Amino acid sequence: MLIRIERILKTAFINFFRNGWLSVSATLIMTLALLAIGSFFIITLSTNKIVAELKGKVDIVVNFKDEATDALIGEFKSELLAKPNIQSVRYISKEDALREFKARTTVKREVRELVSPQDNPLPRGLQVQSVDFNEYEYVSALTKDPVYSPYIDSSSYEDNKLIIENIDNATKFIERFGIVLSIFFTAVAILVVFNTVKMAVTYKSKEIEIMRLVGASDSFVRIPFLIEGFLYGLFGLVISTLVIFVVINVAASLSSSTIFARFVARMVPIYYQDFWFITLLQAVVGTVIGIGSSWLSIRKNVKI
Amino acid sequence: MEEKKPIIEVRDVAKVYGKNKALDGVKLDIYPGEFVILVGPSGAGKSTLVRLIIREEKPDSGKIRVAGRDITRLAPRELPYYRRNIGIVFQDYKLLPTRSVWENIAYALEVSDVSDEDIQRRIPRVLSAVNLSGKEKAYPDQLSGGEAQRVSIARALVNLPKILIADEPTGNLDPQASREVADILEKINCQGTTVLLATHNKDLVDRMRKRVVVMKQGRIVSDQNQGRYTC
Repeated sequence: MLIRIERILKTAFINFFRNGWLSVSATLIMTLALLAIGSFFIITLSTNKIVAELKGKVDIVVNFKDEATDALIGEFKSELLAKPNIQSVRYISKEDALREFKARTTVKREVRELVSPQDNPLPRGLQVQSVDFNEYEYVSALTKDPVYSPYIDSSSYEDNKLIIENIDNATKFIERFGIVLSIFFTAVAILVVFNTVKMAVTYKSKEIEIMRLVGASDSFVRIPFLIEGFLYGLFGLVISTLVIFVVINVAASLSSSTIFARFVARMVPIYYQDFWFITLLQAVVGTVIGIGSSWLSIRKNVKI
Repeated sequence: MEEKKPIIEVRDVAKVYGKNKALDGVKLDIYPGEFVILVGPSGAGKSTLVRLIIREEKPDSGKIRVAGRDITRLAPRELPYYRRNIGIVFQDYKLLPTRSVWENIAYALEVSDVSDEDIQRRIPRVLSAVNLSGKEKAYPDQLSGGEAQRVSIARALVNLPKILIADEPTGNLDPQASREVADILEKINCQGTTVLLATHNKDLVDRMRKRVVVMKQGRIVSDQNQGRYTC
């Protein structure tokens, strides 16, 4: 059994290394396919993370009039927290509001000095953050509820509405576009690799016939081709990973202030953070389409 | 010889391709140790008969028994085992182009799970039998036609088959190389291997003075011991 495995492996390596141009072209096609999938995946991943960070910076603040009791504010807060998509609701006391106001460098110093702890007109408020932007509408609706509306001083929802909607639309667009594009890229990659491997197997159909005629069993003929398909995937993976690694590092070192450069700078840590995940994804895709297309080609083109 | 049981027994075999009757009620017995030459013009059915005997194809009707076994009933997974026990030589040599002479012969042994030591022992022996010692490292495209055909014969012999089937082995060779191949086949036969040779090389047939079976239009029209090429 061991000797058979050793011989099947030997056959696969001979097939791979002695059919120079065929293996090189199949590996290159595989590399291109994995490059497309890999770089597209990195860009999508980075964009999603950047958008998520952006989303985390968006919040709305509901300010309460001085007449509102703490119990009422507490009740309002628990109604919000009952929504699973609402991430956090932070209570801002008058003191907190004052401290934050004093820290605001965008407000003129003279104006800041007008407000003091003894004479603090700043309202108490609740700062709401949600992963789902639709929840902000719920927050806004709740401020209009007759139970609370008399006690609501203001809400930043209306001010932030446009930004929220824009970010929300952009995120949805990127997500959908990303899914469509990744399906498209993967499909194209699979088709191209499949055709190349099919060509390689068809080219070798005469050899397969010879192998059968000298008494090679089904597994002895088939498995080396599957291993060859795996090798296309493996070498494609190594080369495409190297290329992406070099390109990302070179792009990051070219400092400039364009949006693209800033995006790349943001992308580098994300790439390092998810390096193994991206590599694993490419490995799975490379292996599956390498072995899969070999298997299908042998089944389709060669009568065993 | 007649008391022995035939090693190849072809019974009323017919094969049709479209409207063309390639074989029509062929009956042929070949006995162990015989050297049988199958002759006939192109399209007579020689190659079809060879393809049926090596079980590359199945007959439409009739039976073929080889070494007592009905090979028309072999399951696909039994085929490799069957083929390892018969040596096959083709007109176009059928050598693996990316493997050296040694590796081509070794492949036939490797697929049969022969040990490495055995492979090391057997290959020099068959290479010397076909006068190719020293060509172990050459690749098929570095060999002459005669040399390539002798490698193919060495590969067919290395599994020590009881039967050797050669389909137009001299078809691509010059007279000198053809004679060498014929001599090797005779030598193999002398050592006890049954040989079935399909050819339309008249000189070869007349010189060898073996049993000659003549085919025409899918039928056997003559079967003579020490026959001559008569078509």
